[in-house]
Amino acid sequence: MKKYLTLCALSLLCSAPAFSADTFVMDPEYTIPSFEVGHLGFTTQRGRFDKAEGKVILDIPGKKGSVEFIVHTQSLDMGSKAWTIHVSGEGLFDVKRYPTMVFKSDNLIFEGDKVVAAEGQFTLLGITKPLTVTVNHFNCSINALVNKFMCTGDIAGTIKRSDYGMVKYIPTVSDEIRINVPVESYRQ
Amino acid sequence: MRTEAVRLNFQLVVRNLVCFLATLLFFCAPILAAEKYVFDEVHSIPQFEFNHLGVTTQTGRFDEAKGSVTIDFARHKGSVYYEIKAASLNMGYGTETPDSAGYRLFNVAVFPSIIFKSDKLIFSSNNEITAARGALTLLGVTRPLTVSVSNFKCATSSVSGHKICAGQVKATLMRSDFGMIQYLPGISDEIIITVPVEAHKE
Repeated sequence: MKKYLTLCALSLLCSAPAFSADTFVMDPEYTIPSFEVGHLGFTTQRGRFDKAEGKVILDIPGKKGSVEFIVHTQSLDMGSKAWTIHVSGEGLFDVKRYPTMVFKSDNLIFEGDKVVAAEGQFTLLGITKPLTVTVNHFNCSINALVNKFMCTGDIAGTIKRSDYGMVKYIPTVSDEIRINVPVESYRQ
Repeated sequence: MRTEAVRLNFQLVVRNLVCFLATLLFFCAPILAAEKYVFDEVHSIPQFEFNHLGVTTQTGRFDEAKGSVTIDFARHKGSVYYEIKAASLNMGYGTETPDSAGYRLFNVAVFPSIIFKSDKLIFSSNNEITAARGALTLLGVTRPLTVSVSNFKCATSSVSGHKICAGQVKATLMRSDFGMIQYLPGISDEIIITVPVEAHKE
């Protein structure tokens, strides 16, 4: 009987987080990060990383959650091959040495039952700094096309690249970088 | 004798001056009237934004486009020609194939180019281009389109030493106006197009 109770307690302990929090895995096709930089004081130029992955643990009633988002830097795609090679190189994203950029947060900010921001840490070029990103258009619904429950949002953040030691071409190429990531994630 | 020499010299100077002025007018007039700038293809890549499933803002891009703009600052006139290669569509998923949704939407095999033409540039009082009124041809359908231009600026590039005119171009269209109705409303009807333009003086 005692053994049975212990098992019961253990199973409750184990299953409790599963009931209160759901894991969502990001759909890589619709979760492609892009960034914007100022160029020569003339225009806003954009770049994109075509390969990223991530998951979100969401406890909406408890207003808690966490995120891990990994960007594979070698998937950088500037639209022109020569430019991609240039921006991938040493002094900029240095993709051979730093194959990933990572954003981690265990503090999701809620307004009602909607996530509006994530306070976390961003690692770029091996340097980790605090970063808070805003979450716009947060929404959870069933995607009728695949009959799966999804949570989605448009993520925006701004960094100063010099904070991460990426100082080449400042100010010709702006220090400030704006990051945009649409996120579509499916409950597991 | 000396007077004669002075007179001849004077005649020569006048003739040279007239010649110089005529040459100046001949060569400079067209330059003063209109300057042609060719788009830097690496830094003038068009992007479009759409809403996906009513939930997220997704973007796509065409990696190959070419264009030029003729600007007559004195008379506040000019024209633009901009041609996008439809097959250079790049959504980030990997290579597009003839069967992919993107190629089907843009019917790339039948309509290889998307073209914007304008011969009505709008200038502000301080000589900045703020808009271009023209027409967009997409899927073979031509419709009027006005694009806005923000941050218009002409300056010498600190990198190349070339004279550059640049601006951020933006337009909004309904794709159904051009007969592009596949995947509505999962992929929104409204499309926002943004093109950073850096054009070098020819």
